[in-house]
Amino acid sequence: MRLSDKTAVVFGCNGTIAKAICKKLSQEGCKIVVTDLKKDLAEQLVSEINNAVGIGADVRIEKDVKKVINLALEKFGKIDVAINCSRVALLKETIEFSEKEWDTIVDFNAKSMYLIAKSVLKNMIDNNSGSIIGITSKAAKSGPANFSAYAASMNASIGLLRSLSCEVRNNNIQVNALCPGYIEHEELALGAELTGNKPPDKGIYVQFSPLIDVTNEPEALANLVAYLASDEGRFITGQAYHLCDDDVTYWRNLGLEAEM
Amino acid sequence: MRLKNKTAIITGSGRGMGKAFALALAKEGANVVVSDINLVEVKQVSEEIKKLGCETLAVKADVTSKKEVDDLVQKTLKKFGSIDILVSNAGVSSMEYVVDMPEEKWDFNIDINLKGTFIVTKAVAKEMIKKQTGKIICIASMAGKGGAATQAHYHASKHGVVAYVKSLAMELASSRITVNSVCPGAIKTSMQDREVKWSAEIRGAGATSEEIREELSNFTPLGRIGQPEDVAKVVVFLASDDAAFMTGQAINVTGGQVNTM
Repeated sequence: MRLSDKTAVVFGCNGTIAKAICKKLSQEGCKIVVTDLKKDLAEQLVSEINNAVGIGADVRIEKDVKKVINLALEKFGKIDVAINCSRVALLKETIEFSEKEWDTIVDFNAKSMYLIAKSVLKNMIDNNSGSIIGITSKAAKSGPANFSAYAASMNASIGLLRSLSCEVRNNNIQVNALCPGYIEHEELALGAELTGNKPPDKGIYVQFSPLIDVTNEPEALANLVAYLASDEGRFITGQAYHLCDDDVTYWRNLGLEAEM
Repeated sequence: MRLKNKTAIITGSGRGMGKAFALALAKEGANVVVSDINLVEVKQVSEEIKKLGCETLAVKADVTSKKEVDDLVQKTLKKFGSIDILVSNAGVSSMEYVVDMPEEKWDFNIDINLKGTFIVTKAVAKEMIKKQTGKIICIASMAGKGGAATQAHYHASKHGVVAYVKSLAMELASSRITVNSVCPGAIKTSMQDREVKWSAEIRGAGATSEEIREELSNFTPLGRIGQPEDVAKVVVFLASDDAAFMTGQAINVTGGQVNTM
């Protein structure tokens, strides 16, 4: 039990990656505040793990994010780990993308990271300890066709985290990003829902690389999150990790790869 | 003259790097549309271009306004008939630590640098697709690749531009339109003047702008702060057919400074 003295806040739990992370942290003894845009999703996950409380929050709204932080402090007294799993995607050509759709994707994926970091940092600085982890995407580095807002927002999140790692380097706070190699069905479904587009077919996901095993990647990612959340990961900051191969050219015609 | 009879739009070209790009493209024979939020400045730059014997147009446009950007595109098409080159350059910066950063400052950097790039490139790409040719150059920054304290919002916006350009390049490749970004390092502009002053203030303890400037030079392997013209030469190259086989790239123009973590 590597995290039995730790408390984590996890934002966004609608995908398999977020669920795997929460389960792993719980197994390691971590106390968790689980949050999602849809309160019932957070509550459902809380019922499946130990030492967790659930709450609904919109990560695009500072008041909501602060509400989550306050709940964590009230329940557990401190926050050691903040993880942003808020991810939303929309498959669409850039020239067809509306300004409203752009704002939805960028705010949900990137502004969320700023609001979470800003809200959680005060407690971490006071404790001279903390780990902030953004679940972004390999798309941030590869830049796939028909996902320009997604790629831009995820790389924006990485840019923010890199700068932030410099700002808190003397506060014993690590700041890192992880870049999963595929977009989950849940991200595409939420993206369609929030922008009023047609929902994707059930089971659809978008794979970035031929070498990914989507059945194993959530657990692999969760293992790395647990490591970065633990005291073993103390010397790692300002990084953005792939958990897949590094073939950035594979999914040029990405729309064609969207199947399961 | 590598760009004879080509028409170029440059956003944010009332001063600084954008102005240098406008003049450099004009010197290569391009028709240059000078655009910025300050109409007085775009008219002055346009006058300078006229003196070079080039065709030019001055248009006030705010890149965060789709309406003004559409107007910029239509005025360009009316006068010149096509858009061959777009330099999406308009940008802003500010400095504050994340813990003290008001939401308005996040929005200010993201809206102009990132969303502005989306609005301008989308509007111009539609016209370039009709012609099945074009060159789009987005000015990102060294901040698109690394990180620095007090500019998390700026770095986020420029990282966003770098990734956006890669995606857009993939989408427009079949229309033979190239899309690249340029990542300048420490370049002498009014934006840098402001940042140097803010840096000195943030550091306190009697730090001066001169000391900060000297540090910037020392951090640069080539030993000097860059000039807007250093970057303009790379922009001209990317706008020319010499760069016909380059797309989706993010080119550092940093005097050797590497800011990747």
